[in-house]
Formats: sequence, C-alpha cells, structure tokens
Amino acid sequence: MNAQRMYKEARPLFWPWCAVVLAGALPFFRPLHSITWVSEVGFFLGIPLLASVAFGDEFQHRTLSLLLSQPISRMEIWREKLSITAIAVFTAVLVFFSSWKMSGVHTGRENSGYLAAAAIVFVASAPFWTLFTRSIVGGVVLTFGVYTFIFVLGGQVLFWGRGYSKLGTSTFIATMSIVFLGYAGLMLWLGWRKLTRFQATGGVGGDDLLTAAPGVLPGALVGWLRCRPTGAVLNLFRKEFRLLRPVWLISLLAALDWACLTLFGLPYERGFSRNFETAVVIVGVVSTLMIAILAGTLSLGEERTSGTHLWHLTLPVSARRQWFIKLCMALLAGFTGAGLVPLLIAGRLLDPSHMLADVHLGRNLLVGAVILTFAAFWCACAVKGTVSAVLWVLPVMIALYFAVELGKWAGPGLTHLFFSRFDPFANVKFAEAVSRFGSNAFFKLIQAALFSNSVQAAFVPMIMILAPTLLYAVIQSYRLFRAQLQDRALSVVRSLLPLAMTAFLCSFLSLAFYTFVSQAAQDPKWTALFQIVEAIQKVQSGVGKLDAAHPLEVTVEDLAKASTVSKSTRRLLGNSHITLALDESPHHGPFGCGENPQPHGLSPLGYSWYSAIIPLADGSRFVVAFDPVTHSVISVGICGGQLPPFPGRVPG
Amino acid sequence: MKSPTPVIQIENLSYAYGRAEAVHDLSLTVEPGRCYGLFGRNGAGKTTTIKCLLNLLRPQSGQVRVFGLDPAKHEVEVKRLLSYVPDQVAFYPWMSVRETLDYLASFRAHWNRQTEQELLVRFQLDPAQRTGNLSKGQQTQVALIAAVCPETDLLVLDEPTSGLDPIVRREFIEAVIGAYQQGVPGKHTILVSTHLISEFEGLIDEFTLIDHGRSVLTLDADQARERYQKIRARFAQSPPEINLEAALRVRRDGRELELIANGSGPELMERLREHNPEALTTESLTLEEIFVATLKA
Repeated sequence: MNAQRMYKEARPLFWPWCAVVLAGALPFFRPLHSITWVSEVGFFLGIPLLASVAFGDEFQHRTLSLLLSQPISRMEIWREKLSITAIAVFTAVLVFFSSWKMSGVHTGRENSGYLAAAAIVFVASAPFWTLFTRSIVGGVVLTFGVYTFIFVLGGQVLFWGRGYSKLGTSTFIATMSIVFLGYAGLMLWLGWRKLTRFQATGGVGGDDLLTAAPGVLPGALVGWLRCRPTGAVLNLFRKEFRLLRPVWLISLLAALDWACLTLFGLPYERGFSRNFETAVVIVGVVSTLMIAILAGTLSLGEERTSGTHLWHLTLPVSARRQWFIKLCMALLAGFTGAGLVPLLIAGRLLDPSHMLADVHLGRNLLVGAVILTFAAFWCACAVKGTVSAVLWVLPVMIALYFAVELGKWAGPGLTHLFFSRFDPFANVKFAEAVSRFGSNAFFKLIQAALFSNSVQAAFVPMIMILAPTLLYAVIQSYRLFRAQLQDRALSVVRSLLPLAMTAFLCSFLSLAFYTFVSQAAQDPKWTALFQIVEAIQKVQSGVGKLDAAHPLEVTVEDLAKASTVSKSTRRLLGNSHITLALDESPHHGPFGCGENPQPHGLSPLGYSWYSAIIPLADGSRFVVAFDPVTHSVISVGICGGQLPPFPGRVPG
Repeated sequence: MKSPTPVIQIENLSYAYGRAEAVHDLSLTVEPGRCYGLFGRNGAGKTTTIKCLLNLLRPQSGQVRVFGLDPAKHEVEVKRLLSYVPDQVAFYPWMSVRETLDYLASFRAHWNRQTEQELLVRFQLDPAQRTGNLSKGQQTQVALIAAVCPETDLLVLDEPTSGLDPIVRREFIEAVIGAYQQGVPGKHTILVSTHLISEFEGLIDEFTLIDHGRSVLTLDADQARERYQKIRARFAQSPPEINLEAALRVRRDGRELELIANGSGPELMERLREHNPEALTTESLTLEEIFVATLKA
C-alpha cells in the first residue's frame, strides 16, 4: 500500500471520525450522562457515515473517474479504501464500547457482540450502497435503512418461526448476528464487484442516484411537481419538494419499519425481553434523527455543492423569499417525517408505560423535530455541502448545550455573590415589589423548565426560555444563506460564537432573574439563618476550642467580621448573643427545645456535634447542630416560633 | 442634454477574501447599448466584480450602481433588469431542458418563446433531455438561452464561451449576442468577462483590463486600436541602434524590428524612417494583442 495514497484516503475521514468519536466519548463525562443517548444515536448514524466517506467523498468531489484512470488496479483501490475505513470504524467502535462500559450503557457480552456485528455490517455494506447511490448521503441512508429492515423483518420472522416465548434474548441476538455476518459477506463481494464494473456514466450535472434517479413517483404527482412557466413561488416550493426527495423516501422507509413492527406486534407484549424493545426504539430514534438532520441540510447542502444556490440568488426573487421557502419546506419535512409520522405510529406501537409514551412525548417529539431540523438548516447555511453540514450538527448542539449549562451555573452563582456583597432586600418595600414577579408568567416558565419532575416536562419551557437564541439563529441563518462561504471550520466557529453567547445570556439572565425574585420572596428568617450559618462556619474553626462546660458566646458583630451579615439579619437578631456549645450527650427534643423527649433522627446516640443557639429579637430562637469535623449543618430548628416554609427551590 | 443613467457604475470598489485582495479601488462606467468587456487573467478579479454587481458579494469599500440602483437595497429590481450566465453553470439534474426553461421563465415578466425555440433548434438541444445528462457545453447553451429569452436590458456574461465547441462559440457570439443587441438598439447592454478576448473582438465597444484586482487600462475599443499599433521595419543589414524607449515592446529578429507602440506610433515611425528601412509597415493591434502587450509591459 502506498503511504501517500493512504494519507489521501485518511484525510477526508479525519473530521467525520472526530465527530463520531466525540459522540462516542460523551458517556465518559459524568455531567453529560443525561445525554448519553446521543452516543447511542452517534453509533448508528456515525459508523455508517464513516464507512461511506471513502467512496462517497470521491463522488462528492467528482474525483472517482480521475482515481480510476490512474495506473493502479481497482483491487488496490478497494483494498486501500476498505483498510482505512476499517481502521477508522474500529477505533471509533472501541471508544464507544469503552465509554458505554464505563457508564453502564449496553454492558454484557450479548449486546457487545450484537453491536460489533452491526459495525461489521456497516463497514461491509456501505461501499456497495455508496457506489450504488453515488453519494455519501445515499450510502448512509441505504446502509442504515437496509440494516434496519433486516433487523426488523428478520426479527419478526424469527419470533414467528420459533414462537415468542421459546426464543430467548441470547438466541435471538446470536441468530441475528449470524444473519448480519452473512449479509456483510455478501455485501463485501457485491461492493467489490460494483467497483470493478463501475462506469463513469454520469454527466457534469451530477450522477447522484437519490437526487437524479429516474422518477418513481406516480404520474399525477410528477405532473403536479413539474415546474410551470408561471408561478415562480409555487415553482420554488416544487423545486424544494423534489430536492427533499431522499427525505420523503427515508420517512417512508422509517414509517414502513414502524408499521411492520405494529403489524407483527411488539415482542414485549408477548413477554419477551425488553432489550429488544430498546433496540427497536434506538432504531426508531436514529431514523427519526436522520430524517430531521437531512431535512435541514439536504436541500441547501446539495444546492451549495452543485452551484445552483449561487445561480438562484441572481434570479429576480428576493434572497429572503428564497430562504424563507427553503426554511419552511425543511421544517415541514422534519416536522412530518421526524415528528408527526413516528408519533402517529408510535401511539399505536408503544407500551403506555414506556418512557417515550409519556404524556409529553407528542409535544416534545414535534418540537424536538422542528428544533433539530432548524439546527441542521443553520449548519447547512454556515457550511458548504450536505455532509459537512451533517457533521457540524452534533458539535453545534453540544456547544449550545454547554453554553446553556454554563449560564444555568453562573446565573444563580453570581446572583448569590451579589446578595452576599450587597443587601438589596434590606428595604422591605423593594423586596415586596420584586417578589410580586413570582406570579409572573416568565417566572413560572423558568420554574417549569428548572423544577419539572421530568426532563420531558421541562423540554418545551426550556425551549421557550431560549427563544431569543432561536430568533437570533433564524436571523443569522438568513445572513449565512446569502453569504459567500469560505469552506473553513474557523468561519463556522465565528458564526457559532455569538449564537452560543446568546444561549448563555438567555439561561444566565433567566436564572439570575429567577434567583433574584425567589430571594425577594423568601422569608427574611431563612435569609438570616443562611447568613448566620455561613458566618458561624467561618468563625468556628473546630470543636477543639469548645468546652461542654463553658460555651462560647459570639455577638452579631463577631459574625459580621467573618462574613456578610445584612441589615435585615441584624434587625432580626437585635443585640442577642449566640451560644456555641459542644454537645456529646444524647440530644433530647428535635432541636434542643426540650419539647419532645425523643432523640432527633439525624443525631444518633453518642454522636458528637456542636450546636449554636441563636436568640432572635422576637423571643424565638434558632437551634442549629453542626458536624464538628466538616462544619456542615446536621439539623436546624426554631424554638418558640414558627419556621417559614423552606425555600428549597432556590437554585444554587 | 442630460446624459442617460449609466447601466453600470462602479466607483472605487474593493473586495478581499480574508487577506487576499481580489479587487482594489476599481472604477468603471458602462453606458447603455454598449458591449463592455472586462478582461483579465485568471484570478484577476473579474468574477468578484460581477458578483458585487449582482449583490452576491457586498463591496467592502466603494459602491456599485446598476441602472442607478444599489443592488443591495434594490435587489429584486436590479435582478429583474438583468440576466446572468455564470462561469460554472449548474442545473437541477432531474429537470429536463424544457422544465428548466419553464422554471426560469416563471421568474420573468417577459419570455420570448420564439427566440427560445430558435435557439433550441440552432444548438440542437432536445427539450426532453434531462439536464443531468447534458455535457458541460450543452449546459452552457441552456444557460445562454435562459439569459437571452427574458430580453432584459443588461446581459452579464462571465466566461460565457468556456466549454463551448468552436462552431457553437461562433454561433453564440454572432447570432445570440448580435441578435440580443440588435433587438432594441441602444438599449440592450452587455457586460462580458473573459480572457478569450479574440472571440469577442468585433463586438466589444469598450473594455477594462484588470490585473491583480486593479484596473490597468480602460479604453474605447476603436480608440485602443488607433492607439496601439504594431510597427514592423526591415533593414538591409542588422537594425541600427535607435532610441526606442517610447515603444511598449521591442523585438529584434535578424534584419527585422518589431515594435508595439502605445500612442507613440507616429513618433516611432519617424525615427525608423530616419534610418532608411527597406520596408516599414504599421497595423492596429487586436484587443487580445493589446491585452498581452499591456499586461506583459
């Protein structure tokens, strides 16, 4: 093998490989555990993509004829491309397996064997499907589509033949793995045969089977989709509809897959393992994501690659109108193919107890499909070509996710810092005025986004909070749509930065606002208690200084030297002295008031702590028990008064 | 009498791709009814200039006006008044030639079906054939038909003859462009960007030579031919030492001396006559020769 040629083969694989490995490595990062599903999806989308790039890249740049005209045998070309693809795929698979093993996703020999068989199928079948369709997108779609079809149909045949109750999970996976390995061998041979017999028959206009294939649509539909000499706007819609033909086709295949499952009935309904159901759901989710991403990227990506985009901008139709029609059609395709169709079928298919059958599923699926399609559309506006746009979707989404999370962390943090430095709510009237925002719709929206019981319920409110980011992205996508792009990663990053900044500001300001209002609505007693506890923790360096017989007394001024004590806290405390005492005896009463003879649950007999008795100006007193080693609070109570509801929903 | 609004007016246009400057301080004016040539080597900045006219690029400095309108502010109005043939023609591969022309016609208020039919026959294009199966030259032919049929006031051609075979090239230049200009004399204007200047020799009224994004020369074609002359002198023996600094280029070949003169023709002729040449002839340069001589100088 020639090193120079191997390098040439490896180069187009490098960035896709990075994107796929990034998806695979997500479970390594603990804070990202909530999105480990991205990793699973990345496997089923990314591996077929990696396997298709070697030949697909030649079609994308129209260089296959040039390569085949070189004085090397086609066998040599086949060997080099397949070797580099295999290396890329198997190193990526290793990352996936390692991260999954670490995070407990898909553990077990059966699953690993099955997934390895899937990876082999992708590597073996992608060259044939790419050579057949003459495009990367076509290669990925058919590699995954046919795999899914065999999986669904083969699975059902097995269940039918052997009976649902007799077929165990391991038997099923072993049988399917053998079927897949047979299929992989066949496809490898067919791919090699396809390459040896390959003829460069396509014209300069492109030879991509998915976009240039002979029509298979019914005559009436073809007639309607045919462009007319009048009706420019309608013609633009017709053109978009036809550009998105692969998306309609995949949507149809996905719908057939789901319908096939519905027809046969789901295995779990017959008492079969839930593993299979999970696999089915993954297949469904992957096809749904594929549809949404392609709906957003395909039309503009293909136009940019072929050069028709630039030419369209010179026609006497405003660029804004062209952009709007393209966006509408992309969203429609994503909404229908990735949202509506799966939803209609999933309603019939899924177990009501399944997580996807949650009450919020429908709404989230539809909103999610539209959002993902738009994210893909943004990427198509920012880069040249469908494949580049598809590869950018994941990094862009992850960057925005981090920006939002950073805002969620910084918002409450900085607000609390502000409270510790200044005391804006010392003025009771101001505090009351601010606390009125607690009944505000925006406040409730943030509350729903942050404290809903499930991620499903929080999804739409979160999207609404990020609405300014979406609006900015829409405006930006129009600007990028009409711009002359430089095909560089840096230009995408430059476009992404302000968007990420907007996302950060949205979450930061929302959370800061929420914290501010929550703090205003919070009872001053809790604020005082938090401040006193913080001050005591700083004052009290250790239990060694305390003596059970001689308690330590501190004043408000002593506390104020150690930490911030607001005016309202001072008012609550008056001139009282706070007593810190070591307490080793069984503590009676829940908070040391002596009102309840039972020992406190958190304070087992013989456990030592030190307590702080904080008399308040109104005659009541706080009693706080601290751990003598860590100084963390063990218990808090109030004697001779009423403790206001705990403000447990203050972020930070 | 008030002079008509120029069809194209470019003033101090500059555009750079990152650090690479494509056009620098370029100014030119195209009057109605003229066939204006934008000549330059590959990468000289011709396509960038045209893209600024079409609002495909926003000028970084300077301004462009098409029919007195700013293409950025009056995008659709400007595009209604012009048709454009790009340097790289692309169509949707699934559309037939007929459908492609219908699709493009739908954007126009006017479309000459007769011209379309005549050109389809002249170029021997099958309307039922899919554009994906057309050769590069055939795709350019379809683009040319699509540009001529709306009969707009301005035709912008960016390397229009690349990929065309010699017969079609001649057909295109003589028949298509000629017919277009004669359709409404004095109204139809053409801006053609090319480095294959000889093909447009007889059509060009005025031209600008661009090199490295800068305007090198702007002249009326007839004036250029008058000004740029090739002088040949043959002497009985090897040519004598003569002061020929006024010549743009001097070439000695045995007893012969060949000069390219830029406005200094009569003066150089006089000097040569003083040395009694056996033969002394002069002829006008073609635009291509002017292009080569100027850029080499």
